[in-house]
Amino acid sequence: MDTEHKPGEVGGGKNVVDRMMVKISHLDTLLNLVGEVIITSNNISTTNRRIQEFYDRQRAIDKVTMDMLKMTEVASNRASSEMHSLVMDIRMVEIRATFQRFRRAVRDMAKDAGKQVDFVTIGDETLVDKTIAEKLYDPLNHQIRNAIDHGVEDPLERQRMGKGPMSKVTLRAYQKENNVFIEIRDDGRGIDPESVAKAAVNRGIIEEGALSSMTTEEKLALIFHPGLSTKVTASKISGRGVGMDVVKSNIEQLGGDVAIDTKIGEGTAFTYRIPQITAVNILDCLTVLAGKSHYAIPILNVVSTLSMPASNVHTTLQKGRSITHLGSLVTLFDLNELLGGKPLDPADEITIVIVEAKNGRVSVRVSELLMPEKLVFTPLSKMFSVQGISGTTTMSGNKMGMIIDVFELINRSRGVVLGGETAPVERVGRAQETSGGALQSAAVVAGGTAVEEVDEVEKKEDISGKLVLSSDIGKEIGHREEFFVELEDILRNVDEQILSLENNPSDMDIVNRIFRDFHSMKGNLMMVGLTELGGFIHEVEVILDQARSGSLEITEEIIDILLDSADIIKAAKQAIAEGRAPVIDRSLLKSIEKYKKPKEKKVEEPVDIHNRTFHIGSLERINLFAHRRAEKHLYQLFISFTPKSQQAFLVALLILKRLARIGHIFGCVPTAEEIENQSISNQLKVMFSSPMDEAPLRKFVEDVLMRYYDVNEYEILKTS
Amino acid sequence: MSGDFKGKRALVVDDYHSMRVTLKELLEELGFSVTEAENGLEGLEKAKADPFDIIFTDIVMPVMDGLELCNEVKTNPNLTRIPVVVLSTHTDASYLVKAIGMGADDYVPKPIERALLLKVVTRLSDGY
Repeated sequence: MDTEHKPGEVGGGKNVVDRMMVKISHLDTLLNLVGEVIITSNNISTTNRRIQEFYDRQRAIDKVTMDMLKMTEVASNRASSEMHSLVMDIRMVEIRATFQRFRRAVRDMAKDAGKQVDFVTIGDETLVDKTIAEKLYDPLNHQIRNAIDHGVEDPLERQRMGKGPMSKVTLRAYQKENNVFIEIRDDGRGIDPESVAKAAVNRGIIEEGALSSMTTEEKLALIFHPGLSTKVTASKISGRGVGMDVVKSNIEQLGGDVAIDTKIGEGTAFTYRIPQITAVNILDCLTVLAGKSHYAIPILNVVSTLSMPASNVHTTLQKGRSITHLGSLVTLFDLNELLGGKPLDPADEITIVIVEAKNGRVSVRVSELLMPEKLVFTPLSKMFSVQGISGTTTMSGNKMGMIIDVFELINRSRGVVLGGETAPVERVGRAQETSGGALQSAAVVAGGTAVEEVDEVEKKEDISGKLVLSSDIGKEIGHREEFFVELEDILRNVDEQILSLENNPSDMDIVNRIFRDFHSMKGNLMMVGLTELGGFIHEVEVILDQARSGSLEITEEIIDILLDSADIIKAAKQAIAEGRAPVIDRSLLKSIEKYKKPKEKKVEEPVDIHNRTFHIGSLERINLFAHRRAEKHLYQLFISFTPKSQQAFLVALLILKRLARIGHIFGCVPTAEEIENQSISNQLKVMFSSPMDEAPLRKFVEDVLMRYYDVNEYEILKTS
Repeated sequence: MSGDFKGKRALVVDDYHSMRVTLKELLEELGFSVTEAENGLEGLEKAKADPFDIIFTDIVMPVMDGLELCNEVKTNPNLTRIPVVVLSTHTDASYLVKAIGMGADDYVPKPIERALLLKVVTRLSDGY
């Protein structure tokens, strides 16, 4: 299956025809429905078991009914598991897009580092869950930076080592059983386990004495220790960004691990093993009862459960009530109260769950512990998560339960302690995450304090409000999201196209493809009301159009302009997604301007129709006499367009077209050529002949003109 | 206004799905039944296979662009009577001029405004 691509070659012939775009939100809805089916199917099994018991006792139900019940159960089970795996399949995307995103980065990094790098991707067609593909970007980005900066040597050093000047960085993906493997390989200097170990000793990470008992693998694994790098001087390239420890934890978050294979002088390969997700939206929870309500707490957040006499609870002025757990004080809350309900009735013996999230650890009192369960999780909208609930679920026995958002719960508990009143804290990001993210839900929370996140929400609303205002269609058209998705799709490929153009600067097919890409992006941005950005892309398009017509040579500078333009669009898209206003780099516009050839316009001044008579060529003049002799009527038409009309030239052309249906146009001011060159102010004068009498002709012309917005006034004159 | 164009058939040719569905929804509100095509060639083949009352086409598309589609439709005696409306952003005036030269009967600027679209389809269906 593996196909190796030569450098600069655009990745394989991908089949566009049998693919379609599916909104992730639709898939998630489908997935939730599948969850419902799973619940139903579980319930059928339970019901069946009960009927079986009943049957065994009573022997009254007939065999056929039993068989039918059995069949329902089997069919339902099969359908639900097939549906589940189908939806999982739909979520799969090719790793290609993720891999190709690095092509540009590698080019720039290699330039910066003064190295020659051949970037090769293998197994682009490997399928991974969309969420995984997204989460792979950061660790891969870091590793590629590392490989280019530290891994491979510059051409001189390579020559000394007896290697060719061109180094090679390979990204490879393949699937084996239920795992996806992603490999980042370079043919550079390799990692010396001894120097890693030495660095670790120098930084006090390990004792020098421990070295002798460590295996080579253990020494190598030290590079995953926070803050350790084999090259001490941080370079411009890999000095920033995540360290190897973050790479490792990123991959572990996906349930996978990282292996290293390195040989001094020959190169290094890091291999990620990531299990394919098999169940999305199924959460291990501890179910509890508080008053009359059922709640589920994600097991990942549960530290411990205990019950103790109520008299063991300490009360302090500062922290309110707390309990002692493993020698430290943990604040105690009433679960019902925290969620905005009535406090639980006092009791002599109380049941407590200690929970923990990134923002802290608290203990909550519940009425009763039920059991740990695997639950199908239905995320709630953002609005509800304010209340400390992240989703709903159906527990065994068909009871409706609410899944507690522990992060939010702890936030609320802070409000209780500080102000006595719970502060409404809203989060963004997580509630919107795809179901893969929801799996880790309450346990994994994006960085930043709750307060910062509130700001984010307000900004976001502000911006989206502006966007809608800037274009009325925003309201009319319900596909904004899709326009953005398409934009993202184009952006993902456009770098690849531009870089392949760099290698084949005279390939007009590529120029045309890039032109179409920019053109489509312009259309998309215009559709969502981002006209300024659309206007910017238009400038790029003009350059590309010149290249298409052969009047502009594709130089490295042009390639840079194209890449930078794509970056601006990317940044703008990112800005909008994050709720900031997009910024256009004016300096790039200047360098675009440099390449733009002035439009060849013969007449720049708009034509004043009152000071110019019809220019009728000799052929037309002959026709004119013939028409007069044939007793056709000769008419003149004056039209003035609304002053703000920007499209007068187009409307004028369309009106001329309509007139040509009922007669013969002998001349117009401005001339047709002038109209086409947009040298028209707001007026048009036409001379034409028609066999129609004045009254019906007047009606026809009026009927035409009233159908255009831009026509302000008109006059029809019949000349003898 | 809805229902005025009931039973009328429109062909929408654009290489982008979002553009097609946006226009499709607007046209369907007006009563049109809408067929989609992803490029000029596919559009031309669909137009030859089925009778349409109106064709909407983007200009810049792969395989066969909108200008060529205009030309093919307007030079084909069986199709020439079908009004062709080109879709384009206002920055692409020169394409629109070319398209009108190729026989396009009207244009609708992107972003598409409901009121303007109605105006255009009305005047074309009235024969103006």
